Amino acid sequence: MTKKAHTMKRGIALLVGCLVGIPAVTQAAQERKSPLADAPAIRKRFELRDKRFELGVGVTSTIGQDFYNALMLNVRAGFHFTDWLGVSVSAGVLNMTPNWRSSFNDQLNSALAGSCRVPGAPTSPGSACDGQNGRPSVASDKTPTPANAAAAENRIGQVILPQIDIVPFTGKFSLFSKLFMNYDVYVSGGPGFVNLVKKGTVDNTYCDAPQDPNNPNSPPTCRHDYASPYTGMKLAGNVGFGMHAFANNYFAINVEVHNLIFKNNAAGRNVVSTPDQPVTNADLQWTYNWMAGLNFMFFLPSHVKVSH
Amino acid sequence: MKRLAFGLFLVLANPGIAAAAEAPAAGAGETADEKAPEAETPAPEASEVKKDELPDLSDEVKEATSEKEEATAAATAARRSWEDIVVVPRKAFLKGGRFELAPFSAISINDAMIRHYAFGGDLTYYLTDVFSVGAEGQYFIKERSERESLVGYQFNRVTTLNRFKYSTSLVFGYVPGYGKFGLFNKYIVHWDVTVNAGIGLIWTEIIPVIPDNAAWGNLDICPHFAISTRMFVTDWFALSIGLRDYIFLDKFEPLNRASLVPTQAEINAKTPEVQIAKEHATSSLTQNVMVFGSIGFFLPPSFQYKTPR
Repeated sequence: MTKKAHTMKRGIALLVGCLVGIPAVTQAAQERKSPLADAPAIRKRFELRDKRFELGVGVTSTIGQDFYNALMLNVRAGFHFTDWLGVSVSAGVLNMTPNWRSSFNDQLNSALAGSCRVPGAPTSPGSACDGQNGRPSVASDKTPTPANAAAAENRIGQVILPQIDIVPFTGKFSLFSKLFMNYDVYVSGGPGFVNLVKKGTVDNTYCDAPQDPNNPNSPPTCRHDYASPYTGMKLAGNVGFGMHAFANNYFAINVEVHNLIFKNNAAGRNVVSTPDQPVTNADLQWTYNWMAGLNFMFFLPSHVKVSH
Repeated sequence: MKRLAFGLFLVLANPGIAAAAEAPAAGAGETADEKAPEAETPAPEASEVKKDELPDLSDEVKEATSEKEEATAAATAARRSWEDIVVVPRKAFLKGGRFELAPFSAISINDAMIRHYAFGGDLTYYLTDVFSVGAEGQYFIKERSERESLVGYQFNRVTTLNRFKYSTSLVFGYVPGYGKFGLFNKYIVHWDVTVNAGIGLIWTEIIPVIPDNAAWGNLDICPHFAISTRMFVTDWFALSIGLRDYIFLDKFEPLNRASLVPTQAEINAKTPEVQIAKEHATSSLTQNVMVFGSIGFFLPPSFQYKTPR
């Protein structure tokens, strides 16, 4: 066989092989199944919670309380059994704003300043407490004094919230197309322990004294204030949700919202009973107390597992 | 050689004969015998090859074919991976140049005395994927809280309250954040965060402490700020939830309305009592924080990418 014939043979063989291959490729393309067809949506995912502890501090605040809001120093700790299930405890250990009145309480306090049960209230004819022309008198006025109103009101002192955290979804977000963070969203639930505290004591010294100091049998100066603050450690239901935004594999910013459900009498006054009777447990009502917290969390160990 | 050339012609003319590729030379040879007259002209060099030296290409073709099939399979497998996977997927939802019509409902959360439910809608046009301009309108329904009903019983005092009636605003929006999450590790859901600022008007009305007294209305300039998150369900449908804070200066019923004495001039002018009370109204900065949820419909319902994948 000559060299030219050999070369031609090889060329023709190559050409035939290519022509055979083109239909094969076309058919293969038509029958191609994506390798991603049965694959999970996320592969090689950082399992940022699986078998890791989290510990951190922050602040938590009540929202929409009737009389006093509380900004508390918060400590949070937890352990994650899997990437989607964990337990944690969030504790507001110190109320840093015991005198933080709500706007309603400020307005109320201003309105109560005109109570005729305040020692030294004006009683001369034509004054606000002369008992004439529909105006109240010292003896008849039902309006509590600002001091007694404040003494009967309670506020949240500390909270301890053990809970189960369930993470339904995780993901990633970008901020201003510059900052990228992994995040997770969780729902939580469990019992809660709320310590209700008071400030001051309801004082009836002035009103219980006889109108006539020389006659002990004379009527009392003014109406007895039966208000009584509702205080102590109370059991509550705790439901909420939160979010971790991971700056890196071991540090996250945590935002939480809780709804504490428990029976309370924030004003410490009659609700179903009449004002001339002591306050009882029948005056307790179910209340919904919202709290929002911001914590800085560290996850340990620092090593993170990666899924398939 | 003529037979070989003729067979080659047949293969070129019929690319679908992959099954017959095992012996293309033999087939071409047989066919070339039948159609030799057509193939005679274009092969002057073939005359140099003698008849007894016609090569048997079947083995070489088989070998070349198998090599090519292997190469094709490998190329196909490689093409499967890079055709289906991109390093950076495109955003799943584009808003630029589209309108969003979003009816919403909302509830106020920051007033212990009175709660408002709002029903309204947003009409927004997205100048780009991040900047938007639009209009908002809503109607309010009031509900007094239980705390408000106890104030008079417990403290022998009543509060002065205003109700909101309706409002409208011009709204500007910016989308600073975009994200996605995996749902049950099967679906990828895209979402974004929007911040809004707007300016508009709000109509309010006092709730008289003494029900027999007449009420009056206020028309206040009302700026507002909002932050919301939106989840994209389809190419034209989204769900949103967020917070809106409306801030305005409102006028309330004076606490001493029952004891107001009209001046001589007001008596002479027969000024209505409600007008006299309005002149003595107390102004107060009011903040109305509302949680809202909405469903968004985008028009046109589809979009096209302008860049290659």
